[in-house]
Amino acid sequence: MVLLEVDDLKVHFEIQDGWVKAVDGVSFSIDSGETMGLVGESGCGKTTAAYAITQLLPPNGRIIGGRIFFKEPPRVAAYRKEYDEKLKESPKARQRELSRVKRKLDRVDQAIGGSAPEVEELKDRLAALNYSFDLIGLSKRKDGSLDDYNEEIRKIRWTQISMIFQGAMNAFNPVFKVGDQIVEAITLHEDVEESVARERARELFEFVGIAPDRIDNYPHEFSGGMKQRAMIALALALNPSFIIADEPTTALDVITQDRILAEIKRLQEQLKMAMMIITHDVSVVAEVSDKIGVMYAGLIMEIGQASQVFKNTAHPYTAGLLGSFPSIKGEKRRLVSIPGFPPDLVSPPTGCPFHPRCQYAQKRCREERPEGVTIEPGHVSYCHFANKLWEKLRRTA
Amino acid sequence: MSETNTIVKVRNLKKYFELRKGFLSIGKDITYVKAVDGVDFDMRSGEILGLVGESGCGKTTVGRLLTRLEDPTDGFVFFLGRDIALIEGQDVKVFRRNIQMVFQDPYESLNPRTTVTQTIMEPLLNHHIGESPEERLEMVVQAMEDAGLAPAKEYLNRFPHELSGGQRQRVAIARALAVKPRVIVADEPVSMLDVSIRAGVLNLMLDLREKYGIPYLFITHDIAVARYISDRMAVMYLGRVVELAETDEVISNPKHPYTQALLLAVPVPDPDAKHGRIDIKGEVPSAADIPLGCRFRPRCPKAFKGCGWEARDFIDWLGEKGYLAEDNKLRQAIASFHPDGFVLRMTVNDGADPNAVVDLVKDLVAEGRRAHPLLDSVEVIDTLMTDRVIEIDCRPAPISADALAAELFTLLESTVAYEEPDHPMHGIIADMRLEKNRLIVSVGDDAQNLKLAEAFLEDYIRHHRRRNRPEFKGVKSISASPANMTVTLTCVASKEPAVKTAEDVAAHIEKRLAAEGTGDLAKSTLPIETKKKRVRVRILGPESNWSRLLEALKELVTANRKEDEGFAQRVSRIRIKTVKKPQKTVATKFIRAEEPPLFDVGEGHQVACYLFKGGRLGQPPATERGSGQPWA
Repeated sequence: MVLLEVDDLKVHFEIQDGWVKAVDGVSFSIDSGETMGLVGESGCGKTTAAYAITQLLPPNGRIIGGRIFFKEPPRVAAYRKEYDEKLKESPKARQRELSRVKRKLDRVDQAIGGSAPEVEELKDRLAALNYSFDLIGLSKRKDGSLDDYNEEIRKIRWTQISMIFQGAMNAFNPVFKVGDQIVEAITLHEDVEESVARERARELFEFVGIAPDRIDNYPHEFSGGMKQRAMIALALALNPSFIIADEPTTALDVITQDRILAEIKRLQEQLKMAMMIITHDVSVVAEVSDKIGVMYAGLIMEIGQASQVFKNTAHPYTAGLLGSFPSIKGEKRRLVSIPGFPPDLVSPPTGCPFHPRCQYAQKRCREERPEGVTIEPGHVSYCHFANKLWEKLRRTA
Repeated sequence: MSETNTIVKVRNLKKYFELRKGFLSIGKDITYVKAVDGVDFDMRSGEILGLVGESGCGKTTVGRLLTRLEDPTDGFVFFLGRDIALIEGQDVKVFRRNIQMVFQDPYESLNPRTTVTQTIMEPLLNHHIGESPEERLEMVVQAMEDAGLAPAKEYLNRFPHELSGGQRQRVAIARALAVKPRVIVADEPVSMLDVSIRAGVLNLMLDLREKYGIPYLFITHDIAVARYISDRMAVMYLGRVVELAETDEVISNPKHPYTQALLLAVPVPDPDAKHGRIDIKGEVPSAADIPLGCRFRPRCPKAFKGCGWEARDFIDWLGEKGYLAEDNKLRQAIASFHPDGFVLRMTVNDGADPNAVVDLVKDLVAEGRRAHPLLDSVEVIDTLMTDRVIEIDCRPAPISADALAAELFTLLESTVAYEEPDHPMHGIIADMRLEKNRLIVSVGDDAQNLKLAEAFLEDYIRHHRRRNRPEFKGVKSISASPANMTVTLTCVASKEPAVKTAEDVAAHIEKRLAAEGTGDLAKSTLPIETKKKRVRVRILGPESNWSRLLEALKELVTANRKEDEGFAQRVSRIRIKTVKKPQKTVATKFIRAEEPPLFDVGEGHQVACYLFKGGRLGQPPATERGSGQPWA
């Protein structure tokens, strides 16, 4: 079941020289219980995409377009897609349809009432037309910026969608005890006694493998790995259904990283939690993700199941990324670097943003932004020549 | 020296940083962060040596010591046969030219106000390389093209902010290359770069090695990167190299338990690769408080009896097993625990009987013996009389010219392994012999060699004199004789300071007690301490042990055996001194173990782990092992 659907999300930042097109039309969906890895180099927009989901953009961030649907019932989603197809680019037609459904609902509701299937269907249709499950719609202001303090969003944030922040080293407030910070998160969102919240915090510590009596320690008394575990405990505090982990292991040493990744895997297995892991490290993604999205210059280049992306690579950028990554396993082969460097997102290249660095680039790549090409079920490459290149790019496994 | 292929030789290198804890610590012992604590490795010509380890293991400090950005606390770095700590004056410049560094962060290591040309030109000007500005510019262009900044013209006048991260790192590499160094130390040169750029810089470094044969010390935390770039790999843990071998050997056949754990923890960019896990326990201990014996022991899944278990491990174990709970018999009998290295002193409560406590501890040790190697390494459990100590006062000892020469000879012979092909003095020093108060070093036939040997010996003596052998000021002259092709070191009578004699006496006692077959006496003797010119010895057990030990010590000092000669005149007095009020104390002494050195397991594969003592491949003998292994 789809838990989160991001549809054509565009987030730009206003700076002195113009607009940084950090995320410029990204779509993907995550099922409940699924882990998606979002990989890309620094500045490719992966973190921005995540912050848009939790609606924690910096003040100069603007949502230029797109919607993020969270916990949308499947039928609503189906109706929504149906309407979107039917009423494409005609706000007036949508308005008419909306009032028609509303009237019908009123009528039927009075006639039959209650929770009859017919009423339910109309309610779902209404929700679809209204984009009721769109998070962006809840808090977007006229100028595209987000209202961080929107009540509806605050209800969802952390109780439903929580986050493991980049650099857990600095994510805790150094002057408060770690346990108190978790307790605060719990009591802020739930109407429980502090003692109950403390007990929950102790359980959470135990769950992530820290001795519960460390709850009264300050952040500086924790090692890097322990802080990261405490961060995971904080993210789990309110039993969310979706966790976004932003570079959860980047500043950690390999052995600690390995433990945290094992911890994340355990979360997936025991709590059946959906996750999105954002990282630049292809090997981390390989370790924990079911699904992988490869981002470059604000766009998704390739998306699919982990093994599809790794084994049946169908985008030159993904191939380049994998080819430039050393491994301790397998034959030692010469790494191939991608020529050039990532573009400036104030004025990204026209057409496919990767074309200046792509050895297969042709005229069409400079002019036209590629549509998704489905390689196999669930595996999409945003390359004009994906079908042709696929055979060449897939690595001999 | 051209025939030797060792460019850099690092021996027992140490760097301790003083840890200041504010004014409250005045008068207390200074604690040190032992960032680098006895590192040995060689760098061979044309070879890339990867130095791998987790953050805080001291790898960066090693790089800084090699480039003399830090001065070592102890140990040596020989660069082309010279001890770099002794390079002075004009030679420093030559040294700095020959050993160049590439830093981690290309955003900080380049001056933002100078152009690429100026940045690369600067070392050329500093070292007076190139005859004319035109020639220097040509060198700059050459270095840039070597570093992959082509066409160079396009980049010459750019400022760092006009370059991408990869290009900046290339400028840093070009700057290091421009002066044609003999060695490059690269400290995490790619860790700040984006993945797609990284491979290019790594390949560039490989190509440059191919082209110029410059050896690199490549410092990194990323084992996959080290595997890719290095020919040999040294794995560091908490200030020491624990494993050193050909890179492929380390990757495919790791021997040290730490290396094994490290390799299993590295994620692999392949979703189908299922990797196993050895979860080593806990976290890296603080470098200010390094475990005794093998420093990896507390976390090691394969640790056994002989790894150097210590008192605090025992306390931890007691806690784990619930012996320290309020209602436990042991806890009730003991007022306080005083762990001190391999000895745990336990002060017994007034009401309790020390002998009963001894039995209690003996029982629990016997019970746990098979479950944990720590208990296997308990040597003695006995009462300790805290009111006394045997004090041996030492005095400065005159050392005759002949004896000094003999001592120098022993030192040179044991530390200057000129017969080994990779020793910097190999092929230069041909022979050493002792002639009364003179040490005659003959040199292979080349006038150049004579000079090198002379310089080396001068450095060597000076170095030892400064560090811990003040008596070497008795080395009166070092003279080279071109006629005989010898260097002669002439000694005169000198004096060993009392502090030094005390150390000698302590070492002597330790050695002799163990060798003497005094059995339980040696076993019960606590580790010998020296405090300035005083040696202090204590022993476990009853009064009678003390008198026996005192007799044994007196005999050791006064005996007229050949190997004990001279100790009588180094000791001014031996006595049992009463120090404080007696306290009922029980002590547990553990088998002492030194830090494991690098054991050779064949084909240049070295492992610092007692499992491989004597080059043995495999497991410790069952007798040493305890039962549960790996223990949990």
